Amino acid sequence: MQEQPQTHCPNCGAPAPFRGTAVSLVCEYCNSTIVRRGVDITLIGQVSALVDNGSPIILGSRGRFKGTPFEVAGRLQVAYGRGSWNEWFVNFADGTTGWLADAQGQFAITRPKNQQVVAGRVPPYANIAVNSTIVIDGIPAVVVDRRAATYKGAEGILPFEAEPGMLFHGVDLRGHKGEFFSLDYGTNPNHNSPIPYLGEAIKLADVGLHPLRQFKGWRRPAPPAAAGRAPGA
Amino acid sequence: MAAQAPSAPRKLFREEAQTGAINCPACGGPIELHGFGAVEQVNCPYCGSELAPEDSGDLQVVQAAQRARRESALPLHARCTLQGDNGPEDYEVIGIMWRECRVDGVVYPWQEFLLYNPYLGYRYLMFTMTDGSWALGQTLDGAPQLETGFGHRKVTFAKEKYKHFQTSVAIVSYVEGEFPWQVRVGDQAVAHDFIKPPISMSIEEAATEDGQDVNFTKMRHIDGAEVWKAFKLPGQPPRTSGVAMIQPNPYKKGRAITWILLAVMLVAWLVAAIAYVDGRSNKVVFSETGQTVTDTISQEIEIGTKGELTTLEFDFKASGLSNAWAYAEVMLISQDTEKAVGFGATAEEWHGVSGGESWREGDQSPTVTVGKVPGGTYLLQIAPSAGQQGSAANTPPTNLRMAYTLRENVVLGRYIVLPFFIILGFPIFFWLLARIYEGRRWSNSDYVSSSS
Amino acid sequence: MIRNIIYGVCGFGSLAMLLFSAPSGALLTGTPNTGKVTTDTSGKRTVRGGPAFIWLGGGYQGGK
Repeated sequence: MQEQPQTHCPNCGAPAPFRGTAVSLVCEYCNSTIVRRGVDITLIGQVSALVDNGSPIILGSRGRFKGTPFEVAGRLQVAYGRGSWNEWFVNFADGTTGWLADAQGQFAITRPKNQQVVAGRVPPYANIAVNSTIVIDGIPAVVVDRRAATYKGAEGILPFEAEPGMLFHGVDLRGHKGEFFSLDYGTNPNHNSPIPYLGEAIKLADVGLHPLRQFKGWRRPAPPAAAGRAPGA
Repeated sequence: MAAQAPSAPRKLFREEAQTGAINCPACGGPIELHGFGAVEQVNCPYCGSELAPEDSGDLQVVQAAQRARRESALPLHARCTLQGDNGPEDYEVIGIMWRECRVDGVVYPWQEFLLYNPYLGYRYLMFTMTDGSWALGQTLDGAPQLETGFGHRKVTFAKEKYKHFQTSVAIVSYVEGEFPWQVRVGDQAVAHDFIKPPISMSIEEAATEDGQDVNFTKMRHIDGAEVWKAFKLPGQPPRTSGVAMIQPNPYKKGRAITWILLAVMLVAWLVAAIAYVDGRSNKVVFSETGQTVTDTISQEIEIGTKGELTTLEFDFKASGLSNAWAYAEVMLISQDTEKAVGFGATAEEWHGVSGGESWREGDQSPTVTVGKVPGGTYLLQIAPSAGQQGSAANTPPTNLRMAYTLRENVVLGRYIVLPFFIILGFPIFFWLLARIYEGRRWSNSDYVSSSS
Repeated sequence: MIRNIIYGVCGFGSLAMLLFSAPSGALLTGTPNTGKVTTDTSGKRTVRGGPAFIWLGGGYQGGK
């Protein structure tokens, strides 16, 4: 991660370490959301406190996905009718970013792609039927989830300005070989060019993510033995 | 107006996540919370009230209920050790749900145990109450592919083909414990089961308040004994009956060995049969034709080899029989010992008209086979007799002519045919047993023929 | 497992029968009358015109 001139939280003065192209950061000390536009740092406001929804992932955890090391830099908590899930913002060692979806014990790593990849080739949100098959970037995938959800809370750094309470519409798809795709239709879903996030489903043990959160009465899996060796449970 | 930064950064979630104990706000019963923050709903085990965990940690009554607690096959919060791909994995039962489906007016209930490990996620342990079978499953990381085309509906995933077994509406009838999503008694989901025993693919579609979703769960059959061992429970698991949906077919086990045995024994049979037939001399030791009923035979003949046992075949041909019989009494008196071998052959022909239909029966050329005949010199004696029907019972037919042929070391077909039927018959029988077992399995599916 | 054992035993058993017992016809053949024989030398002449042999030690001997 490149060194950046030290920025400070406008609210409490604590260090606010923006990294890479991160746009917003939740101050660890006072929970304020700070947004960086160019060289300007603006205070957005206090984000609602994150809810502990039992995730084993914590900020700062590191892992290795397809040979590239990554670090968990931020979290977005999203709520919908049935519950809530986390979207972890990850920074890869090659300078790119991605998302680690974390919902009810299932995980996936995706990367944002250009809207042109799916524009015009997917139906508008209202016409998408669950359990139907849509071809995304040449790969057939089954729609497994379609719902409207709201941002609930955040921590760490994020690549966009996340306003708590913002409603967005999303569709998740799974491929026949473990692919995982997410289509973000945004706040107004009456269009057919969502932002695609393409990637695959993963198990935490496979990416060697650690350190993991500690849970009373449960033994934490051992950290991976050494870089380059296959991580064990 | 910047406040002073606190002395140490307050990082979230670094301390150990704690379990909790709380009293049910509806009935006061003690509730243990083991699901950490991942819980969206708690169902009081005692009164059944649906409670939602607040952000503050309190439980809010969503739906008060009054229901009796049901005794499930496994207790809440029981821990087990299962064999995973990377070694043993521990799980805890944090939620119990009873569901049922109705087919032709019959209710089929089952119990689902939600197994939880904060690092590994969730597993589903299913106990089918109608047949006592167990299945273990987890949500798929991908999506199965529906096979297009005609024929039995199938789905494919990870190179395995599953056949459609049943589609039913699963209704929640009882909830206890903690769940990471909202479960209400009465919730319905359309469930499609595709099987490839001992595994199956379950596709469940459900509608939620703000959308819909579909879940793919891969299950595998697991023995009650294996469940009891994983949970270290005393006693015996519940008894099983019938054939469960993905119970492995015991008559399909060992098929490879049956095939090998079949191939080996078939080749051995062929070789042995050829060697056997090749080694039979089938030699004629006595032959006489044109005999009448007054001709008797008394002649010395050589049979076989001294010291060895052999077979004899006596062909008795009678011509000119019409509603008459002829009998040849054969005696072979050994000239070496005083032992003798005796047998008889009956040739007959009967015919008539009965109820407007003409009939005929009787063998005019019978063959008698005798075994274990010691080789040596014998005195062959043949004494014929004959008669007709009715009043002429003791009068031989006038045109009766008989022929006698005695052969030694003959081919006994029964020795060749018996192994052949055994070698082919057993595998066919096993195949039948396997098919009948599958029939019993599929009698619980959507594909039962209406004639049953 | 046990099914295959029974299959193998019956199959190879019947093949052993073919190899060892078929030439002499020891099993699977009808048991004829056997026994010692004495001559009736009372001088009786029979229809057959030859020595008459009478069975003694009747019943089935030998065979199974």
